[in-house]
Amino acid sequence: MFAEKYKKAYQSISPALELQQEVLAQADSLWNGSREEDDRGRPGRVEVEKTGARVNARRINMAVRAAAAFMAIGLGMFKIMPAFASHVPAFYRVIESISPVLADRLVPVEKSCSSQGITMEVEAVALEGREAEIIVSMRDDEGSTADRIHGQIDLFDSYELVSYGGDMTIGGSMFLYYDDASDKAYFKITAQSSEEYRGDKLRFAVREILCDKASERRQISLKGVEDAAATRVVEINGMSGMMEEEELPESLKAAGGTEKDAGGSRRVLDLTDAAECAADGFTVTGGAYMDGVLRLQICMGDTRHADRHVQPFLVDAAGKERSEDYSISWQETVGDTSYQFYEYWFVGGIEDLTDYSMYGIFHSSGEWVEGDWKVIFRIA
Amino acid sequence: MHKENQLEEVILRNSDRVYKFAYSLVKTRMDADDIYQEVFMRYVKAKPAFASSEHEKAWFIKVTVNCCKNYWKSPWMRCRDVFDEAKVHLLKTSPDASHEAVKAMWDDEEDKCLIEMVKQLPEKYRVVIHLFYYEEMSIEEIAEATGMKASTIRTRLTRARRKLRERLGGL
Repeated sequence: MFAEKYKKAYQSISPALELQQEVLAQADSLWNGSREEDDRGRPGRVEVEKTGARVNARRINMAVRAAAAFMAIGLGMFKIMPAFASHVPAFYRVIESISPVLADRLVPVEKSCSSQGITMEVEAVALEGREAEIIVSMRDDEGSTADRIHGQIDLFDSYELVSYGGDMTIGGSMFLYYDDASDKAYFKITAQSSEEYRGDKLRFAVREILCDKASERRQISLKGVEDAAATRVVEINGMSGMMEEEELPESLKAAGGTEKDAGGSRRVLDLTDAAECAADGFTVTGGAYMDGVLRLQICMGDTRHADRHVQPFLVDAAGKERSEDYSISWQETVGDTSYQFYEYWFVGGIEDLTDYSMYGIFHSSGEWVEGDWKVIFRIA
Repeated sequence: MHKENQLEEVILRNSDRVYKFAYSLVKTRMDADDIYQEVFMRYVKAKPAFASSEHEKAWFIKVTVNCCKNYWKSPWMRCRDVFDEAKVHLLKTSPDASHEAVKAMWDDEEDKCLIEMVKQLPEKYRVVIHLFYYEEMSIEEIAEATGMKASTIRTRLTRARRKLRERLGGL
């Protein structure tokens, strides 16, 4: 009789005792947790204010905001459903909650390699025409005593995605979040190819990573800001801002009169010798308020094996925040050390500097690890 | 009785039922573990009041089916099949895999073989097979628990039996 055989077959199918105990513990926790929330009334608000996330979130850029959203929603979801789908990778549930469309296209890859005691795994890929989105994770090797992956890390722009079919250009890398349970730091890489993907083989490689990324809000004193300071011309290696070049005051536009390309030269504050700055940290070299422009200069130290950057902002008496209008960067080399400088310009709109306070979000990184992580995988 | 104790009792009372049913509907023990946990988390969050033991049983069966529907719909699980072990690959790519072949893969363990053969059926048939043969529910009870018409359940049961007969050689 089928019924008897079927029943007999299922007799041995039962939940493991550990699983049962885990569910009971979670039920207990959820039950008590929901009672506490009922008692408190508005638990979410208290938590946000306590962590200060509301304050900081206003200062971080879009990529970091997106990552924060991934983290917040992801972690929030796991809090609600602590045990859901343990064998479905944690990142998948996070992406599913943020971008169901992306989750719907993700195909597992699960190919990994190890270097320097760290395992890189290409977890999944989503293809849409010439666009590819790749989920990558990094974790310490099993048995590794070096605890290097335990939070946000950075691929330090050292990754490449190579197609054996068409040409490939990288669109960007975004840190998603760190998952405690699996000890993995997740990233999303976007890439575009010159041709549509058709079951190509791809190679994803990373050469360097930065561990222990951190951000800290610090106040920057405006007491030492001068109203007249000497300037000098430097060759810049970067510039950005909301203002167009044409909108800048004449004193901030490309500096002429040098033998080099005037478009790459700018006149900056002549404040401190590079050798006096910290090579492994931040040095606020000073500032000046001249011709209606507040200029702030910060040396990031040697950033060849580190990622340090600052997002400065002014706060007026009413608490209103204002970011810089333009910034430029340049390098100065002393011996074997290459110092990276930034100068931030707040153009116009400041009647009395004493009405303002200045702050900065200082982003820094810890250990730099050079490795050889390469995974070749086929996309069907 | 304290509410916490009641919750625990209900969980323990339905523990085996939910797990066996979940396992009949998904591929692996790990998947069943997930469904099992999800069902009871939903129970704790919803805290339904059951009017009778039949109501309680029907509630857990319905929620287990719903959780499994999410599992089946999950693109990750859909895609995951491609990367599953050889066993699943064979079962997936060769729906007509012979009884002997499947049996050999399971080291001649007849119980596991039977379970695996049933698992090859589409999920709509697995639901009715398990509820009918293991839970010994009537067609009307299955219809009520799954929210489908009794005639649909009857048809599915007939088709499921036919398919199993073809594969197992007698039912």
